Amino acid sequence: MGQDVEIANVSMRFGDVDAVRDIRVHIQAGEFFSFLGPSGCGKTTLLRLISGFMEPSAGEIRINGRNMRGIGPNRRPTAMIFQNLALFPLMSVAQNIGFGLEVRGVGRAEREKKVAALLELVDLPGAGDSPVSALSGGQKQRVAIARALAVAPAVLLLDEPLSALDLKLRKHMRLALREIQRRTAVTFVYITHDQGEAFTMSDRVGVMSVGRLEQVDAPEKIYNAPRSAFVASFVGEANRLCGTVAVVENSAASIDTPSGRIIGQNPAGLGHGAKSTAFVRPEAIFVADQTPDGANTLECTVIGRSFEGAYTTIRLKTRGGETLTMRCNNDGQGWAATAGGNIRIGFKPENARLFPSGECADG
Amino acid sequence: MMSSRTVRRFTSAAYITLFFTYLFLPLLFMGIVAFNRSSIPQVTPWEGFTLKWFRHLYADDQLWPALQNSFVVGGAVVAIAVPIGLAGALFLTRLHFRARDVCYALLVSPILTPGIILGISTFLFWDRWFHVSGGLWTAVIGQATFISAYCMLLIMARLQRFDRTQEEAAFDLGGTHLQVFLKITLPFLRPALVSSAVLAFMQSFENYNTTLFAIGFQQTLPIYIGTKLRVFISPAMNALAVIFITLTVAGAVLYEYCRVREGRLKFMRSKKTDAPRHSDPHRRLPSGRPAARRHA
Amino acid sequence: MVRLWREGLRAFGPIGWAYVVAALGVWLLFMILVPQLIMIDFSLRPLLPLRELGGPKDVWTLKNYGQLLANGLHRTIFLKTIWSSIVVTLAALVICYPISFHLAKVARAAPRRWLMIGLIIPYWINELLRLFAWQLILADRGLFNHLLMQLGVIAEPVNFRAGNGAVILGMAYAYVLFMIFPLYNAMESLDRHQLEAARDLGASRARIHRDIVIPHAKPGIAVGCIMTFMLAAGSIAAPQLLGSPSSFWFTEIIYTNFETANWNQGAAYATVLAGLCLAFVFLMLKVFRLRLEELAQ
Repeated sequence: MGQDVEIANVSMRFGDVDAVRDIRVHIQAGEFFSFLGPSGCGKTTLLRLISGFMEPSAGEIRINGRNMRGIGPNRRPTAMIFQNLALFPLMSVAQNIGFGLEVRGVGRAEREKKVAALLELVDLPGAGDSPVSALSGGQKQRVAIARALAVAPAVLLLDEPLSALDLKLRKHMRLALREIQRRTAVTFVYITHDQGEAFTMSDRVGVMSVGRLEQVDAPEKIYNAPRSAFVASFVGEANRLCGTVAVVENSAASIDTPSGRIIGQNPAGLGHGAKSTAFVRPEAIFVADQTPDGANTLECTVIGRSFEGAYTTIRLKTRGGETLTMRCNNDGQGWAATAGGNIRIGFKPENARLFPSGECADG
Repeated sequence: MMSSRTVRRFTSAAYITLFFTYLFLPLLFMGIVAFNRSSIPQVTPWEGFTLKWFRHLYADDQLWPALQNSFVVGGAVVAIAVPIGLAGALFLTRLHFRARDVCYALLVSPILTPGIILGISTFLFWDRWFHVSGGLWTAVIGQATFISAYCMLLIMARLQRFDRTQEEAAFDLGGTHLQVFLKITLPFLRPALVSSAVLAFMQSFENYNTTLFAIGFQQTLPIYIGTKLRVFISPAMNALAVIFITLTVAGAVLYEYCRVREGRLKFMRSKKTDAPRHSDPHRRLPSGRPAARRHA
Repeated sequence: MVRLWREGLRAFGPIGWAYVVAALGVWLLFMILVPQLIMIDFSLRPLLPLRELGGPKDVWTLKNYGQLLANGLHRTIFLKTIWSSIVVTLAALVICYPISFHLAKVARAAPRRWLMIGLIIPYWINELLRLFAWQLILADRGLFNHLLMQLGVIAEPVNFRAGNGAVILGMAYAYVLFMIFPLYNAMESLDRHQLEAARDLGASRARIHRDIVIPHAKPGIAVGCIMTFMLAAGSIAAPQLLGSPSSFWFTEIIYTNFETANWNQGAAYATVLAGLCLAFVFLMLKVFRLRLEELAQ
């Protein structure tokens, strides 16, 4: 059964580099939780802190309420799937899976039973006697998972395990992992830079950037309601329009941009006169012949379009000179845009989010 | 007129031939002498073929204790040098500290020290501190001092190529340090441990300089040979040389054979996993020719 | 120091760390360092009969070292040893350079293996026996004399063993491999294309070696020279087997001292020998402008 992981104000410092800064998150028991972020954001460091290969410079890590400081990786209720899998090349599949049981002194008969059951669970029945070198990438993945599950961990830590697989296999493995997690009810802590992975599998996602945790939420919330400029731009694609805050009204605000006035959500609580960037997703933009009430509209020139099958991507330039990307499903809307032509586009205020910006150029 | 390229090829070939003649001729000469009936080692005049010097050698009752001592010392040196070399390799590979290079230089220094100095210092040390006079034990210690360094270098080379995440995974799964070492690290190191043991034994077996000063009145095989050669030249020594040469050449041939065989086995194994694709003997190669018969 | 201890404990566990510390402690202290210090201590004390040990006469003195300066014969032998060792080193360098180069750059893979085996086989045969072969060749009734007499060049056998010649020849024979492999290793890492490019630009062979190969192979040359010199200067088998009373080697003086139980004098000369080797190492580093990159051993 899974246990909860509480990361309480954890920081990790190497020399004068802060790899991880003051992270606070409570991962629930039995949850599939992902840390999402670009390389160097500290997610690997965090995983190694949870697994016990490193001790945090500050803060505590508690599993099931118990402080893990001073407890080595071999005594924590965690098991890790390494990025390179780290299967033992000189041992067979069964010996690999049974390793954790062997070092705990489990007898041979019982070990064999458990190994067989695990092979069934990961859909590799009868592969016990094969050498590790004879397996494909996907099969090795599953052996690594079986090996970790053999020691009945309360928390399973996964270090970008799918990054070396090809696309099709990756998609298959995502579902397989989710399935295994549901069946075993073990807490999964997954780190990746691929948002597709994080969103497909996780109950909640924590977005990280340069050692800080930017936002922790369910995938839909992360995508539709980002709470910082970083999350808005790292997750999914985003159009950016820069301007100055003109009017603030409850949770919404409007900004004046070179392309016109835009009303959007104001989660950051910007005040009047603040420099701000509005983030809008491409799929939230529509052709605005009939303007729904309260929608933002902009006059644009079409500068390019690409038909990509299920949808069409259209690039636009606003009156103020900013570039926008619009995405239409294959429902005929996109035909209205011809290169060089003028078009009016719109998006709802709920789909625009305003964040503070430094230089208008990068938001 | 020969082109300069041909001239160069010729001189280079001539040089190499000359060099290898220089290396091997003395050995050949030494070997032939062993079969000459003359009691003075020489090739000419040839007084007839004989094996009597081999019998002389067999009957020499100084030879056998010396030979036995060589094996005893060799075995003891292996038992000491390999564990010490392993400790050194682990220490220098796993730990990082400022004085690491100094430590490395210190531990490797016995290799660069003239053998007689190792022998002398070991001899004096054991006499002064433990009142143990020169003998097999001091010879073992003196030899182990530098042979451990060779073992350490061999093991280090292998250890540096070890994928540490395997050890991490083993820890993560609950292994203690001892378990991880015995089940994961040691099996990986096994080839290096074996080869360093073999190297240690061979170096101990033929060591002269260090042993000479550390062994007091006892004898190992090289000491025996040295004593004999200084005093009185007898073709029995040539017989011994023939035996050495034969064993060495046989050893080299065996080693090469094993290596080639293992290489071929590895190749066959890798071919086997490809086999299904090539099972159709009539499959056409890209060039359009029918596939040739599969090679054995 | 404390940090190292804790790091060691964490890396190896208590049992493993105890083993590493014990093994290395024994090796470093009891086999490498302390015996050397004891030897130096012996060298600084005079030779005393048993009952006078620990008494008033048992003090530190440089008398044993002074012998080297005072005794004309010893001094001559010491200098001759240095000189002969240098000759051996240079001879080995000259002989082995072409071979190493050929092995590293010219030979193809298959013949290279055979050449290497051809080099290694003689080396697996005991040094003493290889020197013995030369003993036979150079003896009064040996191969050389026999040939020369047959050809009518000489009437009486020549004593080849007088003087240092035989010893030098024997050493050059015995230690050749220790020059070849460092050279080979250093040359191997030289990119063949550099040589081709130089040829292409019109450089002569001599130029190529001088400007490209030798600078690249400097560490190998240095290591080879160091090893050969130390083997030659510290050799006792070659002088014993191929020498004659007129070609005494420094190591033989040390051996005689030990045979006559004058350990103190022997220790002093051994320390001098160690100092000589150390000096040679530093000389090589200086001459070739290297730091301690003797890692390719």
